[in-house]
Amino acid sequence: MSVDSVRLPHDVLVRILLLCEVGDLFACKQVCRQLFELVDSDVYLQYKIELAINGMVDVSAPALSPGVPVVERLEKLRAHGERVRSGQYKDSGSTYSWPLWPAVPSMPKDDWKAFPAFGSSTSYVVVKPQQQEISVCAPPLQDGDAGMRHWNISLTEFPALGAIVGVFLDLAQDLLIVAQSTPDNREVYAYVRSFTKPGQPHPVAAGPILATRPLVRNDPGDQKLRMTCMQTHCQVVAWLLSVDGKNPCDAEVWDWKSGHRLWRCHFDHRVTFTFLDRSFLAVTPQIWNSSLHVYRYDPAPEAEPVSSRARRHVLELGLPAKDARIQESSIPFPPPCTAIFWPDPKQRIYVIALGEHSSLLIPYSTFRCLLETLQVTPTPSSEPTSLAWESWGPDSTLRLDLERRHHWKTNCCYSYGSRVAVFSFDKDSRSPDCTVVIFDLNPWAVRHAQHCPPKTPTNPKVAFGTDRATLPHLALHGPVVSVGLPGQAPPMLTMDIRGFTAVFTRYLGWPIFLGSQSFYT
Amino acid sequence: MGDSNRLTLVASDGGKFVVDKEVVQMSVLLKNMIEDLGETDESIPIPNVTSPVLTKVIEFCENHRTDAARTDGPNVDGDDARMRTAVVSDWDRQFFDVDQDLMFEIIVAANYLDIKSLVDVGCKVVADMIKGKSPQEIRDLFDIVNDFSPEEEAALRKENEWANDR
Repeated sequence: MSVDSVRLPHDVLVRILLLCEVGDLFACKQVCRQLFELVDSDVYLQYKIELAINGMVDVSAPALSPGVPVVERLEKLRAHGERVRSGQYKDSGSTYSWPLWPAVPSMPKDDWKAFPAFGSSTSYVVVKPQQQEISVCAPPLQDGDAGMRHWNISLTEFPALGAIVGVFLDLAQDLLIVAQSTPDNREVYAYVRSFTKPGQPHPVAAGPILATRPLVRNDPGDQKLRMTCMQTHCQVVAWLLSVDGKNPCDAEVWDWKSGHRLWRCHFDHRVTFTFLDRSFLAVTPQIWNSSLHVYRYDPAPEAEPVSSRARRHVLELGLPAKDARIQESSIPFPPPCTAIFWPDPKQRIYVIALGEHSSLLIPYSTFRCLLETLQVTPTPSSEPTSLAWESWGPDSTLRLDLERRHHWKTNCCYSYGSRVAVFSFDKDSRSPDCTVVIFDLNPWAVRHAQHCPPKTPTNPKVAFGTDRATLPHLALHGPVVSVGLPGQAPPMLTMDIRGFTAVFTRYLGWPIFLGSQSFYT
Repeated sequence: MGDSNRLTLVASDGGKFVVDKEVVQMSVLLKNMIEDLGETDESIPIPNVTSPVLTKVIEFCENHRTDAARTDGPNVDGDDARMRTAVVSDWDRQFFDVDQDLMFEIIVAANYLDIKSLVDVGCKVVADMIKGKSPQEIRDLFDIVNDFSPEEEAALRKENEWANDR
């Protein structure tokens, strides 16, 4: 029995410690016996520490009724963390792989277009104009569910206008956005629908259609409009609107619930972009002189004129190599109602591909820190704050470089919370095998790994040239994946809460097979 | 007396405080007590709280009486009430700019009287004081005696090395 050396009642002390940051809890443990025993025995404090180590936030309350007891939450989180750190991924193989063209069609469907969507989990959309149909596939919601989920949505549900120019879905929000051009090719109508009832407007959307047209149009008007890079963050959706997928293009941000356009900007060249949070987005123009631009898209709706190029352009950051492309990706929040814990949105990682052999991982906290210290206050006319690479980047990003013999894919890496999975493969080899390496930039995960070294070897650090990096990080070996062709990686690697999924295509004449292979802990 | 909207609270040292009923009811303990008593002219004794502390507690409740209505909204109850965080205003910080014994006594009194907003703000102020400090700095701050043996302390430091790197 310890002597109470702190003059506060037990429940008040716990309340105080729960408000402390995790680092402070470890300091408190070393103050006296009373605090040591408190931190070590209180299940809430243990849960708080475990959430930090796993880069998660608790999302169970109050959606779950009657609620999962905290003891059970802690147990589940500990088991999850153990599995991730042990690197024991199970190949769920045929369970989740699906041939989209199971039977040989009588004729090649040249007009079919397939693309991935990452609203909340990896899903695949196939548009089949001749059949007047959209097919959607997504992995099961939770362990134990049987196989891939399929939906076929008839295009007859939508007014027969022009061509389908973009499809997006976000399973967590039951959101399906189908973009159709008007027959005169001047305008695009984006239909905001419920995924489960595509015949009806989305129940929480104020209007069924977001109508838009390019800010500048120089071509004769016969070329098709395209809507690409669609991504969501809660009630905000963003896309690129271009003519035939070429430059110039407009980046647009809409509130799909209210039907208001929040922001748009015209670019003379191709850009890639993604959300940073509810206020800012990051844009990388594909021009010779690489840099990353941060724009503020909230809060003013359409009131002010949207013609200015420099509109709420707050930050211009130099990059260390040319040909930079930031990976677009939705922020997976809110989580499904069955989730107990969920990757902390504040620990997101942004992936920027710098050519073929190099990539840059930027934690969200780096952006946050820059925006806060510079106290950027955008006005429509102001010039952005400009920083050279050396003054912001080397110490607060993680650069991955592979020797030239190896190839690797970064232009389609989707981070999940603080973790990013990348493929590495030998391009001269005849082997279709790719090694998956998982980088974790959560500082608490890194510290914990130093304390309890993971069972998987950490030599990827050396291979990727990050052993000298200043930003703390952890590299874990994932399994070897062989769903690519020899000397080629599968086209896509996506992470979710349980592990990752390699999305692949196989052109074996006709039919074409599309599929995915998931590796879950 | 006779004003049904006002009540008299009596501190442990006999100090008397006449307070609006609305303000008193921010304390869940006193609110329940008033409901049990019904209409009465009797004063309410608060045996665990001294006059200086009760003065401060009443000051806080007077200041926060207008935002009391907000806490009546949907509230996370049960276990998860412990996970909630408080927003500390400039006024609250000024309020807690007192010597540490008094600060702790206010929090203990608020906890006893079950005044949620005061407990939340008090705990947050203490948590902010702990922020970024070393174990020795925390001991100095709250006048805590180090009751670990030197061997235990060394072992603890080693065990927590990974977490102390900041």
